[in-house]
Amino acid sequence: MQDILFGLTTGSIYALMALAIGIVYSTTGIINFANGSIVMIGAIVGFWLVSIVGLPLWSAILLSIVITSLVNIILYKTCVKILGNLHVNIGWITTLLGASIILDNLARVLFGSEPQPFPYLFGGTEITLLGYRIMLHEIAMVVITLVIAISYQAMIKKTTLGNAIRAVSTLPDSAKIMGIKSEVIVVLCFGMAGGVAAICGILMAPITFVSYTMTMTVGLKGFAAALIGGLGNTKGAFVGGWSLGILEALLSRYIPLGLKDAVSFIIMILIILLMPGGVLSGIKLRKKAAAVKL
Amino acid sequence: MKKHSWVTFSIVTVVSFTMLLTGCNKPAVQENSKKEIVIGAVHAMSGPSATLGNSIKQGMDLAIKEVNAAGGIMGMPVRAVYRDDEGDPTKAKSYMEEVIIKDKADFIVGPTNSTSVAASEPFVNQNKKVQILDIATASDLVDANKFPYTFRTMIPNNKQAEALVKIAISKGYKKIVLVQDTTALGVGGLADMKKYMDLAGAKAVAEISYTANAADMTPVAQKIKDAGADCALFWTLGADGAKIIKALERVNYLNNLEVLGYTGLSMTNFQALAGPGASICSTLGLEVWAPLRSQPKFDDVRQSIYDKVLKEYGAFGPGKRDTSPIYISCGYDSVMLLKAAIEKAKSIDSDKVKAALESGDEFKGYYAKGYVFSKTEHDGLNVNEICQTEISTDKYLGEFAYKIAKK
Repeated sequence: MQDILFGLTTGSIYALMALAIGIVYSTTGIINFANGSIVMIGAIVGFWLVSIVGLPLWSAILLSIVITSLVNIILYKTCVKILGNLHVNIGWITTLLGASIILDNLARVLFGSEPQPFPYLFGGTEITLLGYRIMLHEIAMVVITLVIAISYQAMIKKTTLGNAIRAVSTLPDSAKIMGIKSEVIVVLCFGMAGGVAAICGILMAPITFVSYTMTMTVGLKGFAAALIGGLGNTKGAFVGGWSLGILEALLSRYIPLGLKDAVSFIIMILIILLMPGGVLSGIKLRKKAAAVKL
Repeated sequence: MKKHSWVTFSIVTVVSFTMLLTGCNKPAVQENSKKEIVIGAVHAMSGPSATLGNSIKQGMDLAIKEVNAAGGIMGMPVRAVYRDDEGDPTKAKSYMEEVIIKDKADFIVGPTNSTSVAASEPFVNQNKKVQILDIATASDLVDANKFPYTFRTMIPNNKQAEALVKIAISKGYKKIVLVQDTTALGVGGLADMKKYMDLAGAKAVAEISYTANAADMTPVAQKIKDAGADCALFWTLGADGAKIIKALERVNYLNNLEVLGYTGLSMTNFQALAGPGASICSTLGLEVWAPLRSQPKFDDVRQSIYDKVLKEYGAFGPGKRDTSPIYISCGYDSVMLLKAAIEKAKSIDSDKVKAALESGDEFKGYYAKGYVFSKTEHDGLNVNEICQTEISTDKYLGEFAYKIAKK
């Protein structure tokens, strides 16, 4: 049971990373290779606001979300938009990978190479849940991720902005004819992805510490979660993130920990091979097949 | 016409022969007419290992200043040429070629990182340059047969592993777990720790490997707990070690465990990162640099270099000096060791200096008490100088660590 609780908290980090990747992918069709660096920027900005500016933690989190959103928008304007048609010009692979290296180096110069501690939410208070000690911070990680998952899905399905995002995602040319400003929607999506990345960075910072290398390993897991859930499928991002987190936690009991990542990526490869659209698309296909048989 | 050709041929032949002979004698002429001794120092002076590389530079500068003020080595002034490899093996290799070919370095100090040494060491040895490693710790970098011109003054990984096992066994621990990451550093550390466990007739109750920089270290802590360990030997870097300590706190397994880490575990803000669990952790240091907390005083030799560091580079602290007197003394020793060997050899010829280093005589040091090399052993530091120390301290954070007294 405790393994599942720990798996859910780690899975929340993966899920939020996968969501940030998915939001960008769904509207532009590109993979933000600098996503891990944006998560790191969110954590570093949060750290500076708490330790240097002296803001209360919650204010620092809100301000960090705003700043990181702006950084992600600048990333779009400088590394993606200038390339024109992204389906023709795939230079974004290089510009985003390059931007990731620049952000990492910049963070190393400005922040230093020494990891720094970051405060837990609720002061690191622990409670006993189902007989196990668990931090309120860890519960908050799962709850905040769940709230983001529900809110994002509600926004996508029930608001005008959501309709516009879906229109730009599925039929970008028709969306333009319908008068939807695709450019504004894409900028908004980059901003939202930056905000989600900042939340992810701040939630993981007390566990991983703040440093310019904090997402180097975890960042890859974010991509794995996005692929397991189905790239661009924002619902699938949560399924992918949490299932990967729980799976890793359970596997850790039975396999050498050095092989944990290898096993995670083998599972990811199998899912890509068997269900190219992610686990959710696989479930949908099975339901359709069952309906046809009936 | 024919006679003229013979005269030309004769002149060309004589001149060529003379040039050839001059060329053959070049090293001797060069040595006799040499105006200065050049030390090529390739170190990481920016990037993650910058504090180490800059400490070495400060130590070398200090020593060179003193040596030159006293008339140089055998009347020749000493000059260092520095290159910053940023801890990058590719840059280390090309800078090493540059200092040897372009700057004509007579001796080499560094590089800082083991991977940078591995990339550049063959070139240094092919060019028969005596090389002093004063920071890099990977065990296989020093091998008198494979790299005959490479010597080391730092504690190598295998001696650290030997010391960790010796301390754990001397304290009577029966359930020892070995914890390391899956990098080459961790794998090498595990092999060394296992070797010395075997030699001591002991067997670890578990070997736990993990991916470096992993987000969640709870599974590592859980495996330590499941093994019922009373002692964990950590071959981990500081941040990962601190994460594991926090995870041990989460799984409620701090009370019955002692953690002994190799020097990589030590970092200036370890206590801030690891929290209360830092109290069960210790690392390794040299006895001469680790006074007891009850008697925080160095011996005269260490105090003398510490005073020089304070005078030259100021006090340690935020916005002030960020380099360590311990590593500054490593750089200082590198220059002084070369000076002693050159004077003993009465020559700057690499083979003669190498033979002087391999003489088996003790060379006095400031980092360690002394270094003894032989033809077969180019690691000069004595394992008996290594002791168990606190990871970092409050008052002297980053300066030195206090020794943990034997119980």
